[in-house]
Amino acid sequence: MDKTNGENLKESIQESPESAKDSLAAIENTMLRTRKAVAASYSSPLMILWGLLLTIAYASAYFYLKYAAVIFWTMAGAGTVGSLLVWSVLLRKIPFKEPAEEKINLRIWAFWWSLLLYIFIWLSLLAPFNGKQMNAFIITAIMFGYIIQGLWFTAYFMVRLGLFITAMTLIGFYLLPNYYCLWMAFMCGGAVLCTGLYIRLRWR
Amino acid sequence: MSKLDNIIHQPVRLRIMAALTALDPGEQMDFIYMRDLLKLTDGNLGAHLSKLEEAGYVKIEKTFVARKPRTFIIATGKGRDAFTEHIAALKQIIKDTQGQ
Repeated sequence: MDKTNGENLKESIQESPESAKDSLAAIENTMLRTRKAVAASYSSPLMILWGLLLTIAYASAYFYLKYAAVIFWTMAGAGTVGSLLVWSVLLRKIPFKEPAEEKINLRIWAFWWSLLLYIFIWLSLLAPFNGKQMNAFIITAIMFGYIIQGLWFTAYFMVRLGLFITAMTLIGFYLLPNYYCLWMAFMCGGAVLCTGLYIRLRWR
Repeated sequence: MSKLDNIIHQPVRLRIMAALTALDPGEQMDFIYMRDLLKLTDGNLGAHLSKLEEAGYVKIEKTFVARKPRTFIIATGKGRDAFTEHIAALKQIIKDTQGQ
């Protein structure tokens, strides 16, 4: 940059320091909107999908408790296939492109598959337990993954959601044992769905 | 002492650089998406991007995604450094003014 131009520019801004403040505010606002837009593009379709599935699965399990295992396994299968489909569409439509050498997508997938593998290992180590214990354990472990991913990508809405659902799971587990599945349909599935919709509508 | 950059200081270019540097290094933003995000026209955004590209602050990459042409923009290392320095200079001005 030409030094004289830079100095002239600096003098003109010093005459009006308000313009320096305005510039910084514009920068902060644009960066925040961009970060939210990135979060909306990557997270919201998957959150809507999983929020819907969780709400349906928990509500179904409340009314048909003896089929709970089948319901949740069906939900997990549908969610996995659905996530792969959504992700393949996202990769074509997403307005951001990451550097090939970074392979961020692969790292995210590796993280989640590792967490799922460890959940299965811990479940086999901790058995026997009842269905409600197993469910509460899986949900809180997945929310732990949300919190870690939120901290990793500085996406604090994921941290807040992870903490909220963990707290709601504990409340449902200890204080509302007879209504646990119904409680979780609203507080877990509903929270994920509402967050996904909010992000999609407000952050794009 | 940080210096202000008169290429970046123009309000539209300032927001373009803010949007690009909010992404991870190496991550690119779609032209159409940036146009909508910053509420600009194609011509306006294109003109400002050309200025930034001439200065070596951004790189424009035309590619095909699912057989459709897409244009992606990325902030270069030089651009990120200049933007960081510009922000530091703005903060310094405010600090100096408050100190007076």
